[in-house]
Amino acid sequence: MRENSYTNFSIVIIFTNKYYRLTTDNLMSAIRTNELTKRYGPQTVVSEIDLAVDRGEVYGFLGPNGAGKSTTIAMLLSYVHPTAGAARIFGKDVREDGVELKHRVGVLPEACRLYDRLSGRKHLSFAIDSTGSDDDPDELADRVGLETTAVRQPVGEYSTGMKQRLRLALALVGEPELLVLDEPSSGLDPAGIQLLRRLVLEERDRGTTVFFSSHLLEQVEAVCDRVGILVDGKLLTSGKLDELKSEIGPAVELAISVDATSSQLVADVESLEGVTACTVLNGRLEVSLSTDTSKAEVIQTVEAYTTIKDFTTEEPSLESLFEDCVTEANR
Amino acid sequence: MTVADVARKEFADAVRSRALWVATVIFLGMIALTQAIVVTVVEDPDPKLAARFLEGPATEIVLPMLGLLLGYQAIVGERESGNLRFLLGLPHSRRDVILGKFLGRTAVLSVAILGGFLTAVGLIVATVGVPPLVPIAAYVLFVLLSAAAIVAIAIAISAIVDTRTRAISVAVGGFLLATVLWSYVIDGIHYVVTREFPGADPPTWLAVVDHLNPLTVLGTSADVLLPEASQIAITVTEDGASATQAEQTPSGATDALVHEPAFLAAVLVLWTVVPLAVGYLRFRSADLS
Repeated sequence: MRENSYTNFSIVIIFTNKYYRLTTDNLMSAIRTNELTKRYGPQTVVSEIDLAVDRGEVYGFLGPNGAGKSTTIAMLLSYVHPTAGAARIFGKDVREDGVELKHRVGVLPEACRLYDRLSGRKHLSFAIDSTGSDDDPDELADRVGLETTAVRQPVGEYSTGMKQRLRLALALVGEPELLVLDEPSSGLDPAGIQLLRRLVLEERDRGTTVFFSSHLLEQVEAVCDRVGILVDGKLLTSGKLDELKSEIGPAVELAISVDATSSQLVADVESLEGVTACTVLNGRLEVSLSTDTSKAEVIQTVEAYTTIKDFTTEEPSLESLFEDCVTEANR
Repeated sequence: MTVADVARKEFADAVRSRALWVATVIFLGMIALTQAIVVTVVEDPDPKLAARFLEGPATEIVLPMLGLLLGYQAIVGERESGNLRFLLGLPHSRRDVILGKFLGRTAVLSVAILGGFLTAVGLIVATVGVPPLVPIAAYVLFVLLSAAAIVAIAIAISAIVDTRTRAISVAVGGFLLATVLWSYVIDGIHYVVTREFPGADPPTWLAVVDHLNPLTVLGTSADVLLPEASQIAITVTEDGASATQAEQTPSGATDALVHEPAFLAAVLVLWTVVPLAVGYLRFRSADLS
């Protein structure tokens, strides 16, 4: 009798466990791809990509030009059909439920051309009608900094930057739950890039998931919670920005120019918590730290022995990570 | 309704691009010119005779040309330019895009056709009197059906091919086949089957094959629907031009089928539905790269 109830109990646990995993997966997941692959003839453009983008996060999809970012995005938007694998958005297959998903997803596709003869406002009204939302076209235009006179002009008369701003406004139509932006900064001037950054953060604060691709690191670094790096059609790495940074070594490199060095000084510095290495090079102490909280302690210790003439700190950038990935892939 | 959104946008774009006006001016110009010639050249023209000339170069040549021109780039052009990425980024399925484009562009051609016929009928009323309006309305309905079929064929070409250049070659090829080459094709088919060229009274099966061409259908619908549906010859002599009605060819039982308006309408509807379906199936699996 007792044994019996025990068995029942464990079955329930297993069931709830599974059920829990399933629901959190659906609730948390904005984009999931499963071995997503695209081949054109003998050429593999995208190779078995497993992307995981959670709801509410800003995900930077990084990679050099020609890495397969746009093809991946084209598969997410079902412009291009995968050779193998599948892509899901909000738990729904992008090919089967494409139209339904596009009510919930705002997109800025690569090489997306607007209708030169129609005004910016006509485009916005068309997108508003198509999504069945009740947005105000002028308000949207205002959000991306398109002036009221400009928005009534035919798009053929727009500058590259204005067109890109209009594309951004079009992506925002219908208050989407997910924004998929392919190289959104292309064609934008510095002010436009500022605006883009602000928009992405505004949308994130509203709870929108943002997935955008870029070959430019500083833009991704500025706004992204997580990044994925794509090189030659393969997703080489993905994760939180600070995790990726710690993966590539010390959090901080300190270079301290001093009057004199001694082996005792080096030993003392090395004994400090958080210091992973200390070397002397041309009258300079080079200290590697795993966290940047021990910086002050290092400085104090060095000052006890000698005078500090100068010092620099260097944090690992995503750039070095990115370059590492690219060189590794090319090797 | 997303098909309606696409269709409306297509129409607005055609108005802006002046495609609508150009199509209207060409069709209206051609049909009005024909009428002007009929009422001025022919002696004692009567409204019925003038109505018979509503069928002419405007419906035989200009209409198919305009239909193909309006449609052959609809999908492939936007695929190459990237406009489709905008359309499909919104909640429109590929089916809705094809149907919307078909409806929008057929509407453009219909405006041109209706404008042309209204002007031509107006001309007849102003110069020679009121023509029989009901048969004319029935004929205009067939012209509109043909317009839909031709636009559907053009959209299908546009949905199937990969490049604009290929679309234009297929459209031009199809146009030549359906217009200048068609009688040779029909004769050729008869020769292949029977080892002799068709005589004055072609067999039913050949008439049916002939009527697989939507333009033949449109021509026959004019013969059937417009008044005095028979051949008219304009003879120009020193005394002036006169139009006479030639002996009506006895329409034997053999021709009954192809003279049936229901049959004619069915062929046109098939030429609308089948190309759209085939075009959609090909387009559905295509990569937009």
